[in-house]
Amino acid sequence: MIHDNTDPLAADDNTDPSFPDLSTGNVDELLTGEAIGPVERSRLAVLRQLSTGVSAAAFGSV
Amino acid sequence: MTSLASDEATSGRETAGQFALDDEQLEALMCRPGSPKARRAVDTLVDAQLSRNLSLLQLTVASSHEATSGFGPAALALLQRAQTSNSGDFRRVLTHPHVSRILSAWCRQISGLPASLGRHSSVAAIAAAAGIQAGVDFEVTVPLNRGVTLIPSMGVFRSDMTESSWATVIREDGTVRFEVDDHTFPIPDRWRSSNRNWEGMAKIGSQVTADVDVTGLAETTSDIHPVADPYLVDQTMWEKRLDEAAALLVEHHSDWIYDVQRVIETLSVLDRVHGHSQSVSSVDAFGDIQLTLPDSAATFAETLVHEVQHNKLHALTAFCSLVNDGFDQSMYAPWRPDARPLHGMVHGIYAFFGVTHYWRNQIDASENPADRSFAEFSYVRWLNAVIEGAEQALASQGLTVIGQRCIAAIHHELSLWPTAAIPLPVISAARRLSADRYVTWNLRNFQVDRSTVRSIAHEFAATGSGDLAGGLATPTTVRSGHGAASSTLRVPPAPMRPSRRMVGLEVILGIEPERLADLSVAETAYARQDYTLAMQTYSSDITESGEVDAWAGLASCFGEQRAAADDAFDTKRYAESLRGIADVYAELDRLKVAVDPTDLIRWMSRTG
Repeated sequence: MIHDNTDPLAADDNTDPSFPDLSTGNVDELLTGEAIGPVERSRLAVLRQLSTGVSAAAFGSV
Repeated sequence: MTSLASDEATSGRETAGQFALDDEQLEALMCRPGSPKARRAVDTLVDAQLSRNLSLLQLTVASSHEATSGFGPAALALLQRAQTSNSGDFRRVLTHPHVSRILSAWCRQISGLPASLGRHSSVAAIAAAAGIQAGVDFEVTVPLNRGVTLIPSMGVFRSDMTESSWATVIREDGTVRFEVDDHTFPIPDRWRSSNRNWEGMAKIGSQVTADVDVTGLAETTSDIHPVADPYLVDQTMWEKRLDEAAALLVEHHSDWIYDVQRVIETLSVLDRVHGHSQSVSSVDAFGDIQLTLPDSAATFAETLVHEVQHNKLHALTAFCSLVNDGFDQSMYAPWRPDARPLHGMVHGIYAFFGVTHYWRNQIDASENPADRSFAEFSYVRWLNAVIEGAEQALASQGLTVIGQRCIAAIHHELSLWPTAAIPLPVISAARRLSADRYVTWNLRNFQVDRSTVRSIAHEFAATGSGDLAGGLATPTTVRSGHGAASSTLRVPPAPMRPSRRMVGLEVILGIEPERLADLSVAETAYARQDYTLAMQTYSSDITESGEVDAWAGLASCFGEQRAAADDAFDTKRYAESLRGIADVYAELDRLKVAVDPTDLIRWMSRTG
């Protein structure tokens, strides 16, 4: 097994909007496998996404 | 082996192994809703949701939370069987907003992010839902909270044994039942219906949103208002209102139909707070809108447009960062009473771009002069607001390369949108509203160094309070920055009420003439541009109450007068000094030095 030791988010480098495709294999293999490469990159991307919180709007009142 | 990709829509996939947006799709996503490239971009964002949730599920499994989430080998095996049996239903369950919210909450908790784990959340229940929807027989154990569990995408089970911690969900020969402590609770064959222990999730349809689940049961973050009691959700009323909104979108806002259809899956019902309507989109739950029942079809349609923008942008932030890590400067947002962090600004810009687009189309959809005036007024005010917000964001140095491209695209697009056909009184009213909001925001958010305030107050007092003609001897900068940055998770502490002066502007435009009676003397005078009377009245209000809004009204009148008399008058700089003027007034009051607020503004303004 080859471990990807580069920065998991380096591929983003803020110029390439993309997200790893994890949906092409068996779910049990994905869920019980190691979080390397695309899995780690997607995980970090989503955690970064979650850190931006919620948005709200109030109507007729802005 | 069953490949999920083999029978699923993959229209947005650009590159093997990843979902990607090219430059043209990104630009279209930002400012050309409904265009072919924007649709392709939306497809890509939607298609990526399964991978997003699988990555969160992987983290949850890896973190071994079986004791609380109930997710163990049996649930894992069930998921695998569901995937193999029916990958389409598996995808639908795994990307349902309920599932996104549950997984997001777990992973927030695992990762130390702000989290509120819903009382009824359970990762094992995701597997149960997948098994039921995919039509496979199984047994799996799910945790209960006070006897209750949400089966995401389906409904809520309420056992009679509130002390029990676990239930076994069994699907056998096409029927589903729960077993708790040797008691059996069947759920209806048609699971959207209900019985004593099962509340199936209601589904409402419209010509735009064919399969929207409406529920009061979605988990919610802790600082959003409480979710409505599901039994109080008036399904008939929601369906009627949604159908009317959909008809409006179809007739006049066709650019938005694709996005609403493709993105919105659930409407989660909020209770009104103090009678105010609200809507919220969470980064945790793509495809969901939390909202109170809109007052009208037009409001509902506007809400769908506004919130679908938030949803799309949330999805995009999994693809790329729009704001540089660590950038914590907050700034003026023309649509909020508080200082906003940059990612909040980006959301506001994108959401209100949609709102501006909506009102632009709504002008020609208006059936009477008052509606047309309101649409014109709304179009221009949001156009001004989004352009102003975008200029601030672009100047902030906090946007990433992609963030710059996104906001610049919106700014450029809006700079081309016409206002020549808008009547001048409407243009004027929108400009006055914009200035008034900036003044009000500065009064609320700027903080001025106390020693500076005391120094100016003592200088004023030392002049005998009579040398008003001379003005402040030493030019002094009273602008010293705004208040603390708002939390990324914070929503307004209370719903904002419409500016009374905005109502006044609407009255003079003939939009709501019957509301003239609601306005104070000062507000009426402001609306009618009788600034002398308005300033006298606002000054009296300040003397009596010291309210920020009275200061804002006085300052807005003064600014309008000065701007009318002097083309070089710097309205923005003036607005930024007002917190200092109000603080000096308060300091003089503390020193028992009487001064008319208007005179103090004039005195302090003379030095520029």
